[in-house]
Amino acid sequence: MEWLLQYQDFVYYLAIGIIAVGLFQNLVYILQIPFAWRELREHSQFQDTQASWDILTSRSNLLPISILIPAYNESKNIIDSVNSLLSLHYPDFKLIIINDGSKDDTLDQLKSYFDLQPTLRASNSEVFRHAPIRQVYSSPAFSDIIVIDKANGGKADAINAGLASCHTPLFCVMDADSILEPTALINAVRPFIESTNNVVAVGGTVGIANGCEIKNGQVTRFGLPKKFLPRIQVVEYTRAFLMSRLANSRSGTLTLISGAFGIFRHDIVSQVGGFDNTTVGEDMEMVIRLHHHLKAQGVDYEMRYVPDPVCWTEAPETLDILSKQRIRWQRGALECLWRHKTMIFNPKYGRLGMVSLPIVFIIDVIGPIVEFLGYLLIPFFVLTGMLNIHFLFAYMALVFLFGVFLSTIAVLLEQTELERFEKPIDLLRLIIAAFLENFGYRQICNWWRIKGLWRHLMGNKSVWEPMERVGFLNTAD
Amino acid sequence: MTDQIPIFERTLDSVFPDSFDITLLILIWSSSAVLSSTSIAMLAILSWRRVGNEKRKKAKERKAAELDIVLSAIIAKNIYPTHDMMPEATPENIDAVISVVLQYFRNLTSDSVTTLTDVIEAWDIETLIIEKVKTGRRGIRIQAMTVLSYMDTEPSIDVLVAQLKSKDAYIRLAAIRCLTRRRAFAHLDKITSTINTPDQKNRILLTDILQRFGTNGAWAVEKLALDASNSTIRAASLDALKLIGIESLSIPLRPFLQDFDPLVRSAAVALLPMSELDVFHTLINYLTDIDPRVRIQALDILSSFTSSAALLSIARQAGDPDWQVRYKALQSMTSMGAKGDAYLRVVSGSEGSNADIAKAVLSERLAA
Repeated sequence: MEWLLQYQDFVYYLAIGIIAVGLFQNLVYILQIPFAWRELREHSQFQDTQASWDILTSRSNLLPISILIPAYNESKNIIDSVNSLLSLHYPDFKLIIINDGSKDDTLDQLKSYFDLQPTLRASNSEVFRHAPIRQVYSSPAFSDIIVIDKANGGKADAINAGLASCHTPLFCVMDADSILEPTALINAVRPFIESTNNVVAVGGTVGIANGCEIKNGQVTRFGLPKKFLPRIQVVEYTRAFLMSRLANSRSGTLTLISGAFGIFRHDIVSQVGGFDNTTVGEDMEMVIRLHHHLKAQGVDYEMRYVPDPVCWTEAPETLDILSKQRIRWQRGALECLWRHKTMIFNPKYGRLGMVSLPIVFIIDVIGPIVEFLGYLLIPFFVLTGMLNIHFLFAYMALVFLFGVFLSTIAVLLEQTELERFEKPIDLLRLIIAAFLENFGYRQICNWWRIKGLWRHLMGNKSVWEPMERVGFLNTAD
Repeated sequence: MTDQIPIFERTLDSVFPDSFDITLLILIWSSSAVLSSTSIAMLAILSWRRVGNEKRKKAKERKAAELDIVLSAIIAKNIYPTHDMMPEATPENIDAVISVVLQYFRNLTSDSVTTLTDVIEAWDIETLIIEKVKTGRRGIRIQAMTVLSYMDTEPSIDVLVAQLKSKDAYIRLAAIRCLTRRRAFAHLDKITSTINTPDQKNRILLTDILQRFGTNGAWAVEKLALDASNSTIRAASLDALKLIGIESLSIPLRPFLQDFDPLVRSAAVALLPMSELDVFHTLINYLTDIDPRVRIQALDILSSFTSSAALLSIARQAGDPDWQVRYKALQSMTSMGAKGDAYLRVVSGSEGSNADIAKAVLSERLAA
C-alpha cells in the first residue's frame, strides 16, 4: 500500500470534499426545518377559515376547476377512481379524463359505465401541442365528465390534450391511480383565495395509501403499511413533503409540484405553451419553466404548497418497481436542470437561481456520486492508514446519524401540527423505520440515482411508463 | 521512509497545523449523535404526551356535544334562552364553544340566527369571545371574529374595527370580511384604506371582499377604484362593481379604459354598459386592444347587441391571431339569433381550425 502514500494530499482533499458535500446537504436540510415549521404552524392555526367555508357554499364561484386525469392502461382502477372523484367536496368542477392510447380496455370501461356518447369540444391545439385526438366523449347522465381518446403520446402529451379542451381558470393535474381526499380541492384552492400574493400554482402533500383503509375510493382510516419497503417510503414522503417542499414554499423557491396532485392557473400555463412532452419530469419542468417565464416577465407571483394530505398514492412494494420509479425521477430532475441550466447561479432569477437550483444541482447531481464515493473510499483510506479514523466517524455520522435526525424531525413536525398517525405504536414503528432507512435503503436509492444519472448522460430516450400497481381501491371489503 | 509511519498515527497537521480538521470532524460526528438522539427523545416525549392530549381532546369533544344538544333544543323549540339553561363557558372551554356556535351560525336560516344571537346575549359570553379575538392562535381568532360578525352589538363591532390595524394580514382580511358581513357601512372608509396598500396582489381575494360591500357600499368601491395606485386593486374594484350589479357608475370610466394594466382595461370594458360612454363604438375600439383578454371581454359585451353591425364586428374577430379570441367570437355568435347560427354553419363547413371551433360551438349549443 506504500504506493498510495504518494497520493496522500489528493486523498485528503478528496475526503474533505466528500465530507463537505455531505455537510452542505445536511446544513441545507437543517435550514429548511424552521421554514417548514413556520409554514406548518401557520397552516395548522388556520384550519377553519371563512374562505374554505365560502368555497364550500359556492360563495366564491370565481374558481371553477377542471381535473385532468391522464390514463394509460388503467382499466383496473379507472371506474373506482372516477367515481371517487365525483364525490369531491367542491361546488364547480369538471373531470377531463384523457385516455392516452391505452392498450387495455380503459376506454371501453369508461364508455359502458358512464354511457359515453361522441361529442365535439373546442380544443386549443395551437397553444397546447399533443398527439391526434381520436374522439371526445361526454356523458348524458354525468354532465361533469369529458373523456378524450387520443393517440399515445405520454403523460405530458395527455395533459396538454386535456388543457386544450379545458375552459376553466384553474386546472388540477393528478394521476389516474391516485385517490383525492374529499376536501382536496378546497384545501388546495385556499391559497388562491387567501394569499395576499398572486398565486399561480399550488401543490399538495401526497400520502402513501398502502396500509390505509379504503372504501368506495376514499381513505377512511389512515394506517401504516405492513410491509417494510412502503413503510420506509412513508418516512421518506413525510420528510420530502413536510420539510423540503414546505420550506421551499415558505421561501418562494419551490421547484417541484408533484405530478400526482397540483393546481395551476390555466392562463399562465397557456402562456408557456403547456407541459413539455419530451421529458419524464414534466411536473418539475413545468414549475421551473413557470418561474423562468414569470421572472422574465417581471410578474410578482407565488407558488405554494399545502401540508394537508390531499392525495393518496400507492407506493411500490418491490425493489424492482421502486428502482424504475426512482431512476425515472432522477432522470426527470436531470433533464429539467439541463434544460434550465441558464437559470443556475443566475442572479436574474433571484433566490431560485442563486439558491434553490444550485441546491438541487448539488443534492441531485453531485450528491449521489459523492455519497457513493464516500461509502467506498473513506473506509478504504482509513483502513490503509491514509486518513484519520475521525474521517470515518464524521462521514458515517453525516450519513447515518444525521439521516436518522432528519427523518425523526420530519415525523416530529407531522406529529406536532398534523397528527395523522394516531396510535403511539405507529410512531414507534415510524421511528424504527426512520432509523433503518439509513442502513441499506438509502444506499440502494443512491445507487438508482446514479443509474438515472448515467442513463441521462448516455442520452437514452425517456418514456412514460405508469408504475405497476397492486391496486388498492376498496381494501376495506 | 514513509513506511516507517505507523498506521492511525498519521494526522494531517501539515495542512492544518492546529488540527483544525480533526476538531471539525469530531464536532461533526459528536453533534450528529447529539442531534439524532435528541430528536428521537423528543419524539418519544411527544408520543407520551399524546396520551394526555387525547384526554383533553375527548373532554373538548364532550363539551362540544353537550353544547350541541342544548343549542339544538333551544333552536328547535324557538324559546328565549336564559343564562341558567346554558352550560358554563370559561376561558378554558371557550374555543370549543366558539367552534360549535360558528357551525350553527353558518348552517342556520336567518330566523334561527336571531335566536342564536339571543342565546349568546343571555349566555353572556361575548366578552370571552372578544378576548379570543385579541389574543391567541390565528385560527381561533378568525373563528371568534366570524362569530362576532353575526352579532349586533357595539363592543363586537369595535373589536372588529380594531383588528383592521392588526399586523397580521390574514387577521386584517378576516376583519374586513366580518365587517362587510355586518354591513358596517359607517366604517367603509377604514376598510378601504386597509385594503388600499401597494402590496395587495391577489385580485381574486380583493374582488371577493369588495363585492360583499353590496349596492349600499358600492360608492366606497368606486372611490377605492379611483384612489388606488395599485392596479390590482383598481381591477378588483371594477370586477366587484360588476358583481355587485350596480345600475350605473358614478365615476368616469375613461381613465380605467386607458389604464396601462390590461386587467384594469378588461374590467373597465365589462362595466361599459353602466357608464356614460357610447358603448357600441367604444367596444369596437377595444376589439383591437393589444391584449387578448381585453378583446375577449369586449366580445363578451358586444354579444349582447343583436345588430348586424355587431355581428359583423364579431365575425371580424374570428380572424384574430389568438385562439381564445376566435373561440369567444364564434361562441358569441350563439347569442346573435338565426344570423349567428347561419354564420356558424358556414364556418363549420369551411376549411381551417375555425371550422372545428364552430362545429364544437354548435354542438355545445345543441347540448345546452
